[in-house]
Amino acid sequence: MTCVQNSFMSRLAGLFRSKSDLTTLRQLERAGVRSVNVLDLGRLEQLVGEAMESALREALSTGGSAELAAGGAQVEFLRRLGLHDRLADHGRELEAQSATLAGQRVELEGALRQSRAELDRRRQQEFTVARQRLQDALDALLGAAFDSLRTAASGSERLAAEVERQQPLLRSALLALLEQSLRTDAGEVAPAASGATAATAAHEAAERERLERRVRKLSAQLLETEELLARTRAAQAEAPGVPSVHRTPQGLAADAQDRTAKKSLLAAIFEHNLELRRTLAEPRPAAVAEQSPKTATPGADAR
Amino acid sequence: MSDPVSPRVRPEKPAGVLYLGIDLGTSRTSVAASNGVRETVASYVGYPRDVIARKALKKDVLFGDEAVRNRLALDLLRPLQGGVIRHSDGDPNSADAQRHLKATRDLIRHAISLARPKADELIYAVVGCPARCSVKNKSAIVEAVRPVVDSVMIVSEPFTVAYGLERLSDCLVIDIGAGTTDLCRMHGTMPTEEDQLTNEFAGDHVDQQLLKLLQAKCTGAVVTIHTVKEIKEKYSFVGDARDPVHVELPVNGKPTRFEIGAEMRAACRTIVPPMVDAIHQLIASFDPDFQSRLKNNALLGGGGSQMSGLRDMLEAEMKERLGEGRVVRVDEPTYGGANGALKIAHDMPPEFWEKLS
Repeated sequence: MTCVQNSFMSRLAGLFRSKSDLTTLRQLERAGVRSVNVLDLGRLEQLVGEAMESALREALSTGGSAELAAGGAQVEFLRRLGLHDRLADHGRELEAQSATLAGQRVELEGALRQSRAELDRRRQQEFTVARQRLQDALDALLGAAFDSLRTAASGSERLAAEVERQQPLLRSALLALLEQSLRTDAGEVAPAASGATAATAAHEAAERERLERRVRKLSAQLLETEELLARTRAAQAEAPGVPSVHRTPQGLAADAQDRTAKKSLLAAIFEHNLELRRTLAEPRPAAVAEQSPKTATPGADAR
Repeated sequence: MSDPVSPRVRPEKPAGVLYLGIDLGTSRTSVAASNGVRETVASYVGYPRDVIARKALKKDVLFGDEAVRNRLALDLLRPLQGGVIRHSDGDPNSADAQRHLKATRDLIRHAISLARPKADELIYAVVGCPARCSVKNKSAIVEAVRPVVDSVMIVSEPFTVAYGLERLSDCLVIDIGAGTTDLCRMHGTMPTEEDQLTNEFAGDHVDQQLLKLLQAKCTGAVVTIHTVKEIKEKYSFVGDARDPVHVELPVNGKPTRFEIGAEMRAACRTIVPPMVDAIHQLIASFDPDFQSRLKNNALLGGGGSQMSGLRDMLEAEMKERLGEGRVVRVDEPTYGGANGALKIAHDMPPEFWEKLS
């Protein structure tokens, strides 16, 4: 275990070195930097390890994906480093990603709804066509059967009248049975009876299945992105800033160097700012340009 | 459009007091805070030009180097010019004045957010402004800062540098920024208008001069003011002895090498004569008994003070024109103003802050 850990740490150290930029002391001095904060590789490795451990624990307990674990580790790493700006940037990126995923899901759900409506419409049409075809066939069969019955009963008025009475009764009973049968096995009987091809139906079913899978996948991604976003926001909320070293208002120390001079300078600054505040409070006269103090400007005579 | 930070609601029971020193500069805005945070950001504010840009950048407003890097997709503003908010001397209701005031507000809010203040602490800020900034300019700065802090004061920038270094008397502060060079003589009391001089022969002026010289020298090369600024920040110098300065600039799309040492020196030197004139003027008009002390206590600060050889050149010029001169460069030019402003904020009596809140 220790061996694996050491190997991981050395790979991590190598990775940090390969991704770092070299600068010189002279460049830093030119940028006005006199002191720098140093974060050694050991501390960085520790932070990465802690962030990964925390994120993996969370992902394993909720059955999240590898992407969720990686995203969680990133949030955790930024939180531990106290990089609140990066956390805020990350939060904005996740918000945008979440909005994109939600938009895509809405589009797909629309397509799926349309496909389902099309299926319903087509099934209704198939049902109507099938019913009509079967009804026509039934009428033809009944017509032929009752025609031969009429021929057989032509000698008896009573029998002939009974045949005429039974034909509509039998027709409506058979039609009711037909309707019930069509509705019960609508998915199989109606397409076959209406003449729709099995290939078309299978193709449409596959298309719907694809759409449903994509909606499920997007929903899962959206859920994870929203979870990451919530975690990022929580990390941001946990970072309310760096506290000041002062719990109460300060003021000039009793033993401050040049205390008297400083006291009068500070009073003068205050008076000047008080006057400035009074000026600000006064209503502004419209379009009265104040005379700017004289400032030497390139292009003008500076001497 | 969202702001980088929300307008501040004063905490009912403050958990602490955060003092801020802010150097609102034409080129860089630096902040030093009593929680130990020090940050600096280039004074650029960019707003996405259209919906597509906003979607691609995923932000409503960008600041500093990030704004410069994405400038093609942004309305890029540099809201300060000559150390003050652009157009703040004219009609405050004009579209330009409003645009730049908003950009300044966003920039200050961003700078304050970089200091990571706790929501439940009082924030008292001192902002440095150019030595001879007009009342209108100062009011515009106060208006921009007030919504995000509990109390704010404006102080002359070179004075903040001197206060931060505990040099309250017998010294001459020379603060070379991007927009202005500010000079202030300190003599133990509050400097008056006569004690301060401001000119616009500063970093931006050098950039403009260098741009002209490079356009003349580097035939066919495409040079932008942003490139010039980067080159200057790397190689600026004013002395005689020098190594060659080689830069690569695109000519017809192909990186081409040019030696620009002479042009760099010529451009950088353009700010020296007006600076020496101002030094001369402030010293010559001072009490003769104390002139020597001023000459031997010149403090050189601000981003422009990092030009190689500038300190030596100023000393040589002062010796020639004034008989003597000793110039010391401050340790942290980028944060000198912000550090001093922070010290003033800390030392200011609490009742003064309360009265201005």
